[in-house]
Amino acid sequence: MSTSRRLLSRIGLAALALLVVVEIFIPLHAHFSIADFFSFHALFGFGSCVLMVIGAKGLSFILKRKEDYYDDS
Amino acid sequence: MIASFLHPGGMLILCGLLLPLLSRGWRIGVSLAAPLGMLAWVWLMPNGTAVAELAESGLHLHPVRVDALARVFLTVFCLAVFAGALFAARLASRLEIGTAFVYAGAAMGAVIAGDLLTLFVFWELMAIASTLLIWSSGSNSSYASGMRYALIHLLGGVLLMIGIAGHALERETLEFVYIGTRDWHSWFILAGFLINAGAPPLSAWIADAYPESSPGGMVFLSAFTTKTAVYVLLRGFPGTEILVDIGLFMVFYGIIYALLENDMRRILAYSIVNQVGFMICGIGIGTTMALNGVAAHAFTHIIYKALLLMSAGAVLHATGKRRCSDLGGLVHAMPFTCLCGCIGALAISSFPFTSGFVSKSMVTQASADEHMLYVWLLLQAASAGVFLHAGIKFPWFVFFQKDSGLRPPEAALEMKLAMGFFALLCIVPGIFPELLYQMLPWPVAYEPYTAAHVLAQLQLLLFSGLAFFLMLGWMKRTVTISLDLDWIWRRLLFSAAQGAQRRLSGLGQRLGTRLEGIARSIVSGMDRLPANQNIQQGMLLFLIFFALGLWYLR
Repeated sequence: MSTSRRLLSRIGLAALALLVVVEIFIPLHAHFSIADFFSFHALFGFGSCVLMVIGAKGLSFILKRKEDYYDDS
Repeated sequence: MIASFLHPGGMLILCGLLLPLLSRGWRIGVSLAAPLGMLAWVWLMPNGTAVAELAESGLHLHPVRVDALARVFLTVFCLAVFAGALFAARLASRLEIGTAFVYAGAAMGAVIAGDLLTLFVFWELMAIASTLLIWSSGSNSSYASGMRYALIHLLGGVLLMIGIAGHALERETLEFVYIGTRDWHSWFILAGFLINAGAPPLSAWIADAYPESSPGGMVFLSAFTTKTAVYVLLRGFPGTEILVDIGLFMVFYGIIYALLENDMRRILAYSIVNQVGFMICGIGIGTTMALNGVAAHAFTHIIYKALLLMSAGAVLHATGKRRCSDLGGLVHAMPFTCLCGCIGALAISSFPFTSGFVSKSMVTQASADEHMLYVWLLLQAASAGVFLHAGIKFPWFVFFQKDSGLRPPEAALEMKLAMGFFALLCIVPGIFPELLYQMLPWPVAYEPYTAAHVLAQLQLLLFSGLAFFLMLGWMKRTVTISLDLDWIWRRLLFSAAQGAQRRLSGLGQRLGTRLEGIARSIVSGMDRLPANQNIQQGMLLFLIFFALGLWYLR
């Protein structure tokens, strides 16, 4: 199990690296100057997801309740 | 003439009323044949409008209006009814399949309504039928959620009626064309429409009520109410700027709540809000590119969301479990369901070569064409977030992660057929986008498959996948629910009412004992008086004279 998982994660990381390297050959002409730098989409996708997970975690302290929260009233 | 005779919504409603009376075999046969017949009607009907005058009021009704935009929605509605009926062929009770057809017919009636009054009638019928569909799952929780659902939609109906009445009075027409936000009554119509779209502040009803329906019921529910709302907004309020902000809010609301959620079908319910958010945002942008994108996205969304809900419904039916924390590792026991769920997950994430890629990118492109930098950035971040909350989270926690040890049987044949059909419909438009684009109301000059676009999208998605797996520890499932604004009436007002009731009954009790004491002391005082009979007679006489006196003085 652990070897196959390690293999899968290696394949995944290789695919990620390949996606960035390919950008050398296929330039992404961004519509906005702010987005017009190498590997913008990779960084933006990663960064915004990290922010969303952190945001959700922060909100979970306020919003999360036990499943029977509405039942016991 | 033929148009009003063979009203497709009316036909489906009629089917819905007949279905519970038929024997099982006929019921399945009719429920599969009827949507296909209606699909033929939709494509054979020429464009046009049927007009009738409303009882000498000078107002005209247009009960049937067919054009390219309506046809997009009618087509996908027919497909959704067909696949939903196939999926639930053995699952659904008589009552459930009947209400599902009335609900679908009402939604189709609302789409072909060319005037606001006809629209309102079908709008309300949709609310009633969908409430019955939620209730038909028969659980106590579905009863309570269905009641809350009905109240929200009745409120929406009241707002809509106020708006329509104002519209009819001031503009002296009922024809449903562009409305805009010029007058006060237009805002009421907009609010009525937005409530059905799941817009803030009333978004909670989708995740509250839909997951309480049966495995097959939610497939129907996900398709019609919110998408009919998108359709009427597309007709009545294109280019209304506030819709851009409302849509962006919904997009992130859906992502955050889905990330916090543990119930698999509630995750998908939140992602309905998220996807409708993309559409509302596109309606707010309002260019033909954006509006084409909204129509295309509604079409593809209904199909992949139904596919996701069918795979979740198959899991729920087979295991009886709905929490991600109880599920996992089902890829071994239900490989076909898992495959279909993954195809739906890729399509909702707009992966290249799926239907979502060719539809959602039109809305994003429209924001770039209009130089709306912040809208574009937020939509891109949201696209990454969709992969995070629906694209990976749903299949990962249900079919993979740790093995839960559950080994249920694979889904039944008719469920597999329904899922396979919709999985195909997620892939075919992704490979041949012209099939979808030529249906759209305006000519499309957009090529989704450029090397740069595919590469940018893959970078965005796969790196958000990296973020998911790196932060997996932060997304550990907890057996919890998340508070929403419905807390105000489910908890605050409820406990306030309970407190008031307690206090009033306490007050009543105290008052009661007090009055009882007074009465007792009067009685005992009277007992102590001598010849009390005379006094009583005297008091009676006094009262009679007093009343007579009052009457004379009158």
